Amino acid sequence: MKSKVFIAAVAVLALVSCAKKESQVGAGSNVGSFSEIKTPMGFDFSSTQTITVQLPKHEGVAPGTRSIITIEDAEGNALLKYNADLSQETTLPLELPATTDELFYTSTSGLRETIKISNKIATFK
Amino acid sequence: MKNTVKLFAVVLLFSLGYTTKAQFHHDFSLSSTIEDYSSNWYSDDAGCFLRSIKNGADHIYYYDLSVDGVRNAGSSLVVRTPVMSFNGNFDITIEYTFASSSSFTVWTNFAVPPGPSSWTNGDYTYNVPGTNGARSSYTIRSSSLTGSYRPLIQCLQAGVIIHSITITNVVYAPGPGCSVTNGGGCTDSDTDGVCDDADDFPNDPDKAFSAVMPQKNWMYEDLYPNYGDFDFNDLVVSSEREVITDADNILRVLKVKATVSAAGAAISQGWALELKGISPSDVLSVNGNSLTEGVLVMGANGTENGQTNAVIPMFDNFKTISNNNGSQFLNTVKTDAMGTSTPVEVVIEFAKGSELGREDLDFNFFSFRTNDRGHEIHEMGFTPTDLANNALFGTGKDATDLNNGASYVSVDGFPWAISSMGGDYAIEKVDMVQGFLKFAAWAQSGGVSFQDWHTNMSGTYRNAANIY
Repeated sequence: MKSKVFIAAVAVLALVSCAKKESQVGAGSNVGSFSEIKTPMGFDFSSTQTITVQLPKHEGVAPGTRSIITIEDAEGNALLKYNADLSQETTLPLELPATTDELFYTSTSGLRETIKISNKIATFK
Repeated sequence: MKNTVKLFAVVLLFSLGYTTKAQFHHDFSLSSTIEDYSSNWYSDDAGCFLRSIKNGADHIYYYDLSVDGVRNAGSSLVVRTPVMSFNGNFDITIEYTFASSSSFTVWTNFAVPPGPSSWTNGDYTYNVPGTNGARSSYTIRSSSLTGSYRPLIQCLQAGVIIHSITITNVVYAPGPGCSVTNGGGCTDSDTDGVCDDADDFPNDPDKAFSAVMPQKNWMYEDLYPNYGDFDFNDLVVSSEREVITDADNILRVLKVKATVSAAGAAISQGWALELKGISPSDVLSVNGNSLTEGVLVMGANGTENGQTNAVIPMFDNFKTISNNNGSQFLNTVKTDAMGTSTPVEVVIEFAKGSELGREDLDFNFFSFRTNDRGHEIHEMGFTPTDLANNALFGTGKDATDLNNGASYVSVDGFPWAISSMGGDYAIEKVDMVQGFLKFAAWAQSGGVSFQDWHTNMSGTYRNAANIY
């Protein structure tokens, strides 16, 4: 009997918890003022993300061999220019709008390539 | 004379490899002739190999005696062979070395006469095998062409070395005027190691690269630590940032252009930048800011005295750089006359010896009251400067607890400063939730949903009547 009550209590708690989460995530349109907003713990109202740009090591390249890497946004603004040492891996932080999910670079042969951002990491090939 | 012609022909044959009626073959050596492209991909130095110092590192290849082949410093290797006459089916085979076992892709294309930049029969060849550092041969293209063309071979992989090229079923006639060029030559006027065509500052050895950061808008409620009307337009500053580094990626200059878009407030405020983790002594100079009130104690290098991190004020009173044009507020009431403001363009120069990189830039913009310097307002989670009045913490609605990483957050989890990628803001005394209709949902989702709350212009995202 005790275990049945316990299971029932856990189920009720789980339902309440799920309901609360849904109301927080799905709500918003019925919020009429800032003071009514209920944010998840730790949310800081930031509209940006800091991603990591990875410039991988190129096998077979002599130490100190450099190449200039230019990473652009969709509008063609140069967000990062870096004289990378191709013989070693380099990682760089880059602040972007939270909505940005891809970056671009133009190879020196003129081709515009896309770099997808995955898990806040953009790997330059 | 005949002997001279013969000798010339022999020299050319030696330098460009040997040809038979049926094929072109060239072993790269110190005598290989590699000419620089001028204006026509087809006809420039038609008898020679061609490279382009105008098109960047991928195109600047050279013979390297230590590896007995041509290579470059680019992320791919582009080699343009001499012009030759094709007679139908052909194969292009390269002898090459690549240190890895990973395969790579090769692009081949053919410049069409008379030029200057027409191409045909381009195609990719995938899975060209890596060689683990050994010399190996591989046929990278089998196709068919008739007529004269200049082949282009582009190995889409950094670090590939080509030792020789063979193209079958073609006739090659060496042209005159070829000269031997070796090394990675390019014009580098300021000798900083970055070719002029890639150098944003070709005549300044202390600067090489310019990059911008996304434009951002900072919006404040100025009654901190108490709540206000949540219109977040008591001070609105938009900023553009440019980062300038040198050839070694050392941070040399940060430019901040700050424009006061709006000020729906009577309280005079200034706006400043703390560069977290950067010492004031790393800053060489600051120019362009607007400091008229005499409320800040500045060091000789333009950073604020008494700070552990470099603090650079942009302006100390928005009212001195803006004009309401007779309105009570600056650009927050639609029916009022539109005001103007003069952007401040602050140039922060860093000492070369600082060894700072772009990655060391950690921005902490904040407002402060002109007549109460310690009354700072930062974005939620951003720490106060050394000159902030910590006595404000825990008063009013503030729930700052620096020991637990909480700063400029209210007891309800609200901020007094918000930055966004959009340039607009709510009108006077209208809760910003009433203007940006997805803002609340964005916040309640923890920033997961409606990340475009500020940029989406559709009717479901905003009530335009409540946005200035």
